[in-house]
Amino acid sequence: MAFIAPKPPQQALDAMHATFLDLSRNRAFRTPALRNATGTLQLGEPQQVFTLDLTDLAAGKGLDAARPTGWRYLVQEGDNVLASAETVAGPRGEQVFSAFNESRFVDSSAKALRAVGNSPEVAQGGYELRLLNVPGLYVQALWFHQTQGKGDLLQPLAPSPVETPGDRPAPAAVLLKELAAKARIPMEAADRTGG
Amino acid sequence: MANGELACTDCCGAGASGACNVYGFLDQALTVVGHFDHWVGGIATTAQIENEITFARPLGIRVAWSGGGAHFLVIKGQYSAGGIDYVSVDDPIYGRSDVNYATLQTAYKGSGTWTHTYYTQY
Repeated sequence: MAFIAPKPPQQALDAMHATFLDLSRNRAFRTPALRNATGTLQLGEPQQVFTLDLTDLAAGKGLDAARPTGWRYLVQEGDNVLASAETVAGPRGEQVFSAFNESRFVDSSAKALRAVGNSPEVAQGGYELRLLNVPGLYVQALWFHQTQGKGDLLQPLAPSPVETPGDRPAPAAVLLKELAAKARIPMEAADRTGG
Repeated sequence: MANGELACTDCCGAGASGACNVYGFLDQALTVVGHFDHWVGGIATTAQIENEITFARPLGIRVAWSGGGAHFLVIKGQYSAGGIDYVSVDDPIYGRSDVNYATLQTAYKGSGTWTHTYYTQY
């Protein structure tokens, strides 16, 4: 499936590649899958990461309120996706390397991207691949952003705590409506608590 | 443990996705299992992390999300490579990550600020 390729800023590319190449060259990864990899590791499927806050959801705001907070790449050994490599904005707004992650979100991202060709809407083209992060509700979703038009699609990634199906992209309003209904509960939790 | 904390009886059954799936206090949960030592507001230094890990005492941390909500995860290691200090974390939602220590303090997952640290004992 060909998406409109997002263009990470050069500074984000530099931060990502400097860290990744250094650890890759020296085989210095510590996370299990990357440490145990024996083949050539490559970065693929760059996605700009957008974060949507609970206050915005509770106020009825949608994807327009999502803030760009970083970039995510999938780390592949051949066709196998092993991890993600991520950048975030540093204190002066510059992109800095933030993390290697090995989680079910990585696995579900790879599976969803392999299957998305079955989506008739996405197959028509014209979509930019993004990642929507709603940490206050533990939701991550692939965001198929329609660059010409308002037909954005969202697909929740497993593990998903929401009822919106994660097996295919759906109009963004479906997931956003469910998230808005859930947003107030964690906002009203007592100090020093968490989930 | 959830049953004990919430005075419920069905947290491993029907209540798992309902009344038992609520925010809580990590110090209370650690106390229930006998591994709570103390908590502090704010972060731990890399030297403090190294000391705790050396003595097999993982640290719990709380991050507050921008715009509301908060989350607990565990620090289980730290190291330096390529000029970056990394912290190895296990997160019940976001899995295992090696996170830039500077990022973990103010922008975990692009949104979380490290607000509290929970020291453990065994």
